[in-house]
Amino acid sequence: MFVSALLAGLVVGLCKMDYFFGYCMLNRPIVEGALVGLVLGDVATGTIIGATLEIVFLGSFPIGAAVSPDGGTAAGISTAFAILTGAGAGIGTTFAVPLALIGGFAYVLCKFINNIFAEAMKSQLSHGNDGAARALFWAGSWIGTFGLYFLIGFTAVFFGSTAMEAAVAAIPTNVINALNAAGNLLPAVGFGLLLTMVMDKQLAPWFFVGFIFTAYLGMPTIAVTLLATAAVLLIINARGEKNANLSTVDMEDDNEF
Amino acid sequence: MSSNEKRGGALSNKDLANTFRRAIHLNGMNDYPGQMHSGYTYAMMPALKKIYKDDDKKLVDAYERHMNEYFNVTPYVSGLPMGVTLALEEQNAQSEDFDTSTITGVKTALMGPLSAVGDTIFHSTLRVVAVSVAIDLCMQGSFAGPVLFFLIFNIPQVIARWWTLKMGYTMGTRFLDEAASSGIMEKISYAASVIGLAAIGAMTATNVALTTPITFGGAGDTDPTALQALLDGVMPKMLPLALVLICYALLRSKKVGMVPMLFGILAIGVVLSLLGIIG
Repeated sequence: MFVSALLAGLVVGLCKMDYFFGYCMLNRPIVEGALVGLVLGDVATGTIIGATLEIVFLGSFPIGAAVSPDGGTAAGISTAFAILTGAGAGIGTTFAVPLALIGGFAYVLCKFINNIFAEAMKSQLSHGNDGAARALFWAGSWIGTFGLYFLIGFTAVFFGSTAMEAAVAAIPTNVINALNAAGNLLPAVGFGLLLTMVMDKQLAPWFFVGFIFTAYLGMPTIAVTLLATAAVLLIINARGEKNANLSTVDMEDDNEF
Repeated sequence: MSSNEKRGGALSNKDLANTFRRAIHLNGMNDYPGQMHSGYTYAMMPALKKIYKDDDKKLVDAYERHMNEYFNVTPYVSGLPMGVTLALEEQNAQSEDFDTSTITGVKTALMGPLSAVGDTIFHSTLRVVAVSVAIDLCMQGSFAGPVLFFLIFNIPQVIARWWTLKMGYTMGTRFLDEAASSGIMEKISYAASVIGLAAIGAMTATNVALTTPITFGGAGDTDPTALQALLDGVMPKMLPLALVLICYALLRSKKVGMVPMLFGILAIGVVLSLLGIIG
């Protein structure tokens, strides 16, 4: 258990360094779940939990200063729980929501640690010590983020797995099944939140176009994405031609271009 | 590059590449008063040192200027403010009476509109499209899924980082004016929204599992009728669609937040499943 918790903690810490590594989405559930699965020897479970949680947290990403649930850290820890206790992917998803909240609030603490290093960096720079400032930036990034989230990941997995195993054993099978069924509903929240960001009245039909192609025709998601890309290119080209033809006439239609 | 020479830019492509590399760490040490200010200063340091190589006082002023200023932008388009401020710092180095508040002003003015475009393109579209392409593979448990997601997202974002830096440095704020007048930004965000929405629609049909085991009739010698079969006859995946639209409407009304909704749906789901209504 110690080694597994150590490995999971390392992955959780490194993935939280996402911001340091160019915000390359290491801290998204879809990546972090798979990576924890990889180090714990069950890639498939990690990938499935990660992908499921990616959708639950699809509409949730940190913008600005607001605290947002940390789906990535939740996916990492949930994957470790699911693999180490043998509870399976369904339960892994169910316990992710509280973990995501803990991960999100921990980032507030991380920012306070960062601020200590930022103040030190500021005072070095006021003396023109750019070398020292550089070192402080690196130290602050690694201690505040990797250090904190390694501890969270390690502690949660090391002490949580046993409790988790006991909890899962104590819960009756029909409740476990109900939790799984309820967990399957959570992706709807992710889609709903994302829709509040991208959908307006004019664009709404595209959501239904995508839905209809998949629900009625069973078209894979990739095919729908490609089809939508082709359609939007045709529309933009058509609008361009129309604008060129009508260049002497004032635009009468009310499209947004 | 020719316009670079026209402006008498002191920074070579190599210097810009160094800034680009350091800007990868832009959000590495985010904090409350200044958000990305430490990362911004860290990324600018070597270029500033070169710009102010003869003037230690102005160099320290520049360090402090960026360190003390709040900065927050979608990191993938951070090159634009960096390139623009580097060009302005150069003007400050060459002239005696340059008003350095211009540098602060430009940074502050760029953050908002740039983040609005950057968040739409990268967070709410490219990421969603990358998920939509990878999700089927992921659900089969294949590691190729996350790898595909990672590549689809990161190749464009790294290119955007370099391109915005280069454009910001060589063209200054003129870049934004030209982009606005050509309408390219509207086209990109229109295309992004359409593709994103279609992908969300498709994923709604495949990734929300909600069915009902309810049956009715079946007294005597007739077989019971499954409600799910009736619903499928009208519209397959009707229940997942309804659930997504309900979540959307509630979140949009701002009556329920995301976290209470997650817990609420878990609780309702468990109860309905135990009652044999869903599952």
